[in-house]
Amino acid sequence: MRHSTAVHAAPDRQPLAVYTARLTSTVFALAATVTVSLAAYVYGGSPLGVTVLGASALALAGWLATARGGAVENGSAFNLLVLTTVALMLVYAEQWSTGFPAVLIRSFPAAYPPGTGLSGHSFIAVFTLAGMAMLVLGLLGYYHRLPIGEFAAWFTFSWTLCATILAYVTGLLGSHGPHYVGGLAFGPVASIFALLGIRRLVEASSETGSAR
Amino acid sequence: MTRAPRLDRETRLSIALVAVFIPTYATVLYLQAGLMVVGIVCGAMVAGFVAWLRTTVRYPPATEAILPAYLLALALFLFHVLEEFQFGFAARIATAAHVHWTEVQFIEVIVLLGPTIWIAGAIGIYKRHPLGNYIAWFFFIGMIVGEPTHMLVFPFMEGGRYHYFPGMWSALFPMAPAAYGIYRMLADPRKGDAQDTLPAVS
Repeated sequence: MRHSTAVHAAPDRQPLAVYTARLTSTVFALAATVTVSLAAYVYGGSPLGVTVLGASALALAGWLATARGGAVENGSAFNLLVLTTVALMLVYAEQWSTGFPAVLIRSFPAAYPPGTGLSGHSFIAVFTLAGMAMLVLGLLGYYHRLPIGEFAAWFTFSWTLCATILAYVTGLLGSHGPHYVGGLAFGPVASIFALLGIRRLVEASSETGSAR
Repeated sequence: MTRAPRLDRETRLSIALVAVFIPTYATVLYLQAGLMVVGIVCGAMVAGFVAWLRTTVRYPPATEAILPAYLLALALFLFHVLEEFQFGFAARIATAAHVHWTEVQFIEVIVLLGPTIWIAGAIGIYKRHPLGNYIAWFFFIGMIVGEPTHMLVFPFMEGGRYHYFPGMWSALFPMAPAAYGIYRMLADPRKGDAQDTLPAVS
């Protein structure tokens, strides 16, 4: 009787492929974190730089902490990820319509030397267009259960939370005293979806880990 | 000859919503940007509506058939709108078509409202909801019909030697996943259940 030996080679390749994908994704995520945070500081000032750095750090920490055993979680946060992205778009719309970039500069003048700070035009280009395109690609990666898609999900939720916090800090602690700024209305709605999404990612990671 | 099964309540409601939304959106867009922009955008909406009613309205395609193509096309479209925005698409169209369309109006409708609806449509596609399926049809047809106009129509409207028009260089890329999405919607067998919402774990 002849026995096939092909089945003995396959199990070693799958964990290696997953490990390689995770390693590549981790390096890319670290590179993106450093680059985007620095760009946010250089062009958007320290309030924006700190916010992006905080969101990136939270996303990295959450992603790496839940990526136990290398398995990619089951994609069950997809709906919340889309809802958070849509709500984030509403936050951006609110902020653009109320001139948030200019309000940010006026609220923290010491953080914006001449030549720094985003204009309304740049805000649209960077956040609602380029940024949203990247988040949609993250949706695609998450749907396909790629490790980098997992990180993109973490970053979408983290960024939404941190962007809302920035709006509230600007409104409450800015140099003009407490006042309304763009993002205070839709920010909490987006943050609820983001928090639910983070909870789902953590729960799904536990489910995936216990199923192995 | 057997008749097609009757549409369920959810599908009938979706059809009614779309039938109301199209003329409403067309009116707003016409008041802002004039007949040409309405013809392109709302033409795609109507074409998508007809295609949807004649094909997949009763059986929305499997999620994995169209969602990846939809998300990829949407991301490429956002990069395309970025090019348009950076190089003053609204002002150039306003001049070429002799209408009054400001950058603010362009941002409101093309940058904010449209993408918000399309991103939300991803949930509808993921859950195989009829409305999500219509949004996919509208978006895919819009990419295939509307994007080539950046190369085939707009530069000629301004006259003179053939030249760059905002959005031209990135216009054709969303067509590829859009064409693939339409192909998959038409080619995939109709499935009665909604179990296949996630790709199989490899």
